[in-house]
Amino acid sequence: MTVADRPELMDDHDVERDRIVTEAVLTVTGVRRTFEADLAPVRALRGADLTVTRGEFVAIMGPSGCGKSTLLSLVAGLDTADEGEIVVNGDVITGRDADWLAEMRRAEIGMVFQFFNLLEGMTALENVTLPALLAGRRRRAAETRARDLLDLLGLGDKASVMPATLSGGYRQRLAIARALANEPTLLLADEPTGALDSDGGREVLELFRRLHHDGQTIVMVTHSSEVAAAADRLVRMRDGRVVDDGSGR
Amino acid sequence: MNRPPAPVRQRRTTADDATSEGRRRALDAPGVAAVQLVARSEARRSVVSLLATTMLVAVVAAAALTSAAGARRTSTVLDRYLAATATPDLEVMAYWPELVADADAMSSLADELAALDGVIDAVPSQAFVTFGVPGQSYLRVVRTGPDARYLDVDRSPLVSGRDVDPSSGAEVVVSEQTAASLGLEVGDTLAVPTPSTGTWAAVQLGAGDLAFDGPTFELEVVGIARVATDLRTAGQSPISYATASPALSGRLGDGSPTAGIFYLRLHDDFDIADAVAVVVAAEMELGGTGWVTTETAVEELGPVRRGFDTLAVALALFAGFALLAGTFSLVQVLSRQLGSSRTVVRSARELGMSRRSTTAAIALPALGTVAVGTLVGVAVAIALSPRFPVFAARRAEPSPSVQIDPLVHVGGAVALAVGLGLLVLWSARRQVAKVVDGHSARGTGGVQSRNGSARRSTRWTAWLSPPAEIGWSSVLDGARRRRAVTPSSAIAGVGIALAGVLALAVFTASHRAAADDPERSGFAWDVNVVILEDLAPTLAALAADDRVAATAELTCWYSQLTGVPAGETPVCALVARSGSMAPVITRGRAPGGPAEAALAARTARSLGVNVGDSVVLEEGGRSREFRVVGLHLSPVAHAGPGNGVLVTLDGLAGYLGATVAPDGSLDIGSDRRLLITFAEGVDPDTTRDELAAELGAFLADPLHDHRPPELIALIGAIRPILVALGTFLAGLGTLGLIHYLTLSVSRGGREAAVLASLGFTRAQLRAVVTWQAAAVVVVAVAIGVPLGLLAGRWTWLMTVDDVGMIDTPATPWVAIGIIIGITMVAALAIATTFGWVAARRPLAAALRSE
Repeated sequence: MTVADRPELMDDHDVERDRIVTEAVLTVTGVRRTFEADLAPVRALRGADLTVTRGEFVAIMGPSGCGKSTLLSLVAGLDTADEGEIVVNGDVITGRDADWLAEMRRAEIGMVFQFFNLLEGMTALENVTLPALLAGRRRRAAETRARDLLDLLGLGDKASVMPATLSGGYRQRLAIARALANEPTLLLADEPTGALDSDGGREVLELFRRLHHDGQTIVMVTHSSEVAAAADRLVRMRDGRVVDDGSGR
Repeated sequence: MNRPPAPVRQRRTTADDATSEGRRRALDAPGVAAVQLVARSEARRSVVSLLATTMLVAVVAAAALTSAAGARRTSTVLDRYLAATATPDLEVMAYWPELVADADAMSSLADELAALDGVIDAVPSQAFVTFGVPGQSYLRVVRTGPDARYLDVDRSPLVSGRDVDPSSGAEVVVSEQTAASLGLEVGDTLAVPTPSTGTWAAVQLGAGDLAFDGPTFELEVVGIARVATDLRTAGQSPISYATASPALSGRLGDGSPTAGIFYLRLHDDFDIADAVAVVVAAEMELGGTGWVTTETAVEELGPVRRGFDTLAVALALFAGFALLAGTFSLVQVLSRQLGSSRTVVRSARELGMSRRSTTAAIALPALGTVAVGTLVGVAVAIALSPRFPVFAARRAEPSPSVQIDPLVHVGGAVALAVGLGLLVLWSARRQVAKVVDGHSARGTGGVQSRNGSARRSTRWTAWLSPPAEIGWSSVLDGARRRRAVTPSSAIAGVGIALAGVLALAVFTASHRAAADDPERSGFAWDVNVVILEDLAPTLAALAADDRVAATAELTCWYSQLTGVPAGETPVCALVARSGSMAPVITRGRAPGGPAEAALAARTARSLGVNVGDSVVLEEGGRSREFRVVGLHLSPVAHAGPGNGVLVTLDGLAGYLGATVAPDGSLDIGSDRRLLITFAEGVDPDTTRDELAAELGAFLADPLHDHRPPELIALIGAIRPILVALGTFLAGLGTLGLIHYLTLSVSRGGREAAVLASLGFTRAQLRAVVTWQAAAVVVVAVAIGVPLGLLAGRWTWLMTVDDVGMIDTPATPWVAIGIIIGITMVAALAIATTFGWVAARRPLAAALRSE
């Protein structure tokens, strides 16, 4: 489901954009982002450009502070760019208000974080059900979808378990299941193996490859070349810019 | 064989060892700098909630210390007033013209009284005894006398104007009550009608009625003073006072219509009978005629003292409640504050900080809030000290300025700070122990069942919208509550505050019902007047009057009953004269024969009897057995509804050994009253005035209108303190909720960010916080409402248990609904503010943190 499928989220601007038919599900053009700091402003992004087409598995790599996580946050609509344009599945998301971005996230984005960010007071099933409920599904349908996802990710027997009792690898699988709850256009992963041991990391990357094989578009941020190797395209960033968009790979 | 000595095992100390030893010592040492560093970071991290805690400590300290100091100041104010004004302990009044006419005799009698054991000083004076203007029936006394020393006794503080000029015979200072009742201001003229010498002498001998057929003195009001009886909190003094200069006594001449008054200041062990004996002896010696009466400050100021004591007790209770409720709130808030330091404790321990240092590090910010809050509270309490005593007692304060009460402002503050400090240290130590000993759910908070498998979380909220489900479950779901900032303290805080407010609402509503409904205190009629004359014509007129529904005659004898400690008990008979009128019976029935009686509640309790028992009423030489057929409310207002015995007229005559005359009176002197019930639909006040005009002035006597029992009147006087207590409790509950939401929102930033990443809009994030606050209030209402209703009813019943009136507690449902509604609206308003903050936090950073 895209924003274009939901007329209530569309304005004239969207209608015009709707006409644009492209295979690119993410286009980042000249995006800049500066954070105010005590000593001097931190220019996290200094004109980043990136295009991701449907079905790609892209790894964004670069040293700490190069702006890769900031870029991911901007794409997810968790932060706003100072300059530039970001288009997600045909919709310009820059310049939108927080509520529009929230609804866009429900429809288009699934996120996986380094530290899982699971809702600890909810069971595994409830964690996966929640995004679907938010997107307007009926509870029964949302739970069915959540159970299917848990089965798919090998968590079928952990539905009623609280996240705190799971190992790191299982917790990240659960986070991925939650990210997939609304069949997102883009699965964004920020250092998804960063808090896992090597076995757990391998499991997660294997899972990503399976999802990619099934057609899921994935954008993964990592500083590890080993992890990045799992992707089929490697984008390199340095000093707030994309220095190699990996299109030649 | 020489064996080589056994090798001595030695360990050589190396430079490396010394270094590591030093390092270990450094780690084990308290590490003041490290403690300071961690404490400072904790303070920075929780600056908002620490400020809220400081404010709460300050509010609690200010409330408790202010009211405790106020209670102490109120409890001593009357004695300080009496000392400052040199109010005499005893007044001996000699109604005896020959004595007053002889200044030397007055002086010599004063000397004789002063020479008695136990007397510190005796000062002679004279007083006009007069009635006021028409419509004002109470007695008025004007002090004067040739000996000016009386001006130094009872030096009542001036409210306005000045003291009298001793050389002027035409000036007077009047009491506040006199000024108020006569509408006098400084500069006005007070007319003092006096009886003629002959009339006065006849009155002294009991041979004539009082009439004001003598000269009328025109006196200029030069000042208004606050005399001791002006301090009454309940009811008006039957006597009002004025003070004239000694020069006035010179205008009176021989046989002046005055009484002699001797003001005595006494030691505690003085026997009043000695003073009376001296005056009577002097009377005999001078061959005079008249009578002697006495009045002690203890008697005269009894209602004032009881009123002030009630105020002091109310303030002390306020202080106690404030301290209890405040400490409870602070315990919760401080625990919550320290409970949020789990991560810091873990990190500090992992870095090698000792238990003691870790405890100190997390306790220091909270200790700072206690110290600063207490200091602020003390400052506020001292600044507010001039506002105490409050209400009527304030009028007695001789020095209404800032006062530092060392016991309360210093001792109380230190005790409070030390107590809270110990609480903080204990709580911090417990928190550290929980983390170090592994009791804390490390990092997660999952709930494990005994066999190790995880349980399902509560699902009853499943039908709610996602924000509502998350908000509710963060309060009500055990698993989430362990993870989030614990809401139980906020629930308890709001619940107890609500319970307190509702208890006060029930108490004040019950009081209002008791004060406003005369029947609850035995007044089942509209007028109760003493009968001074032949009643037959009046009764006949009233029986034919459409405005009157019923009349009855109440005949009472005041008896010192054996076994009843509370002074005189009215033993009364009520006989209906026209229409239907009955006493208020609370149990059983009214007496129907000469051997039956109904008792008032306190009297029955004192005699240890109940309905169905027999009781022997004994007084002096007389005694008579009655069967108790019911409990009633005594119809004699000044005795109180709980004191009395109701019998038939024949029963009363039998008890007294008297006979009943054809007109219904007994042949021995008794108290006879006429009771009148007005017809439906007439206005009681108008009808009372009309009847007063038609039947005689006695009906207008304000003393015979309904007066609630003294305790009910006193509670009315302290109602503002109850309102203040309710406000304080509401404030505590509000602060508790604010503190909970502050911590919850500041610590729950990551969860809010996660929800936002899943697609929660800002409105939905706000709704989560709003539902969270709503859940706290709903649970608090569920706990607080029944608790408050029970507490209010119980407190009311305990308070008025000894009054003996109908004490059924009221349940003000409308007020309760409004209070609950206001609580919910206030909580939602507060939550909206916090929700706004929660919805506008930066998301990306929160999601990247562990």
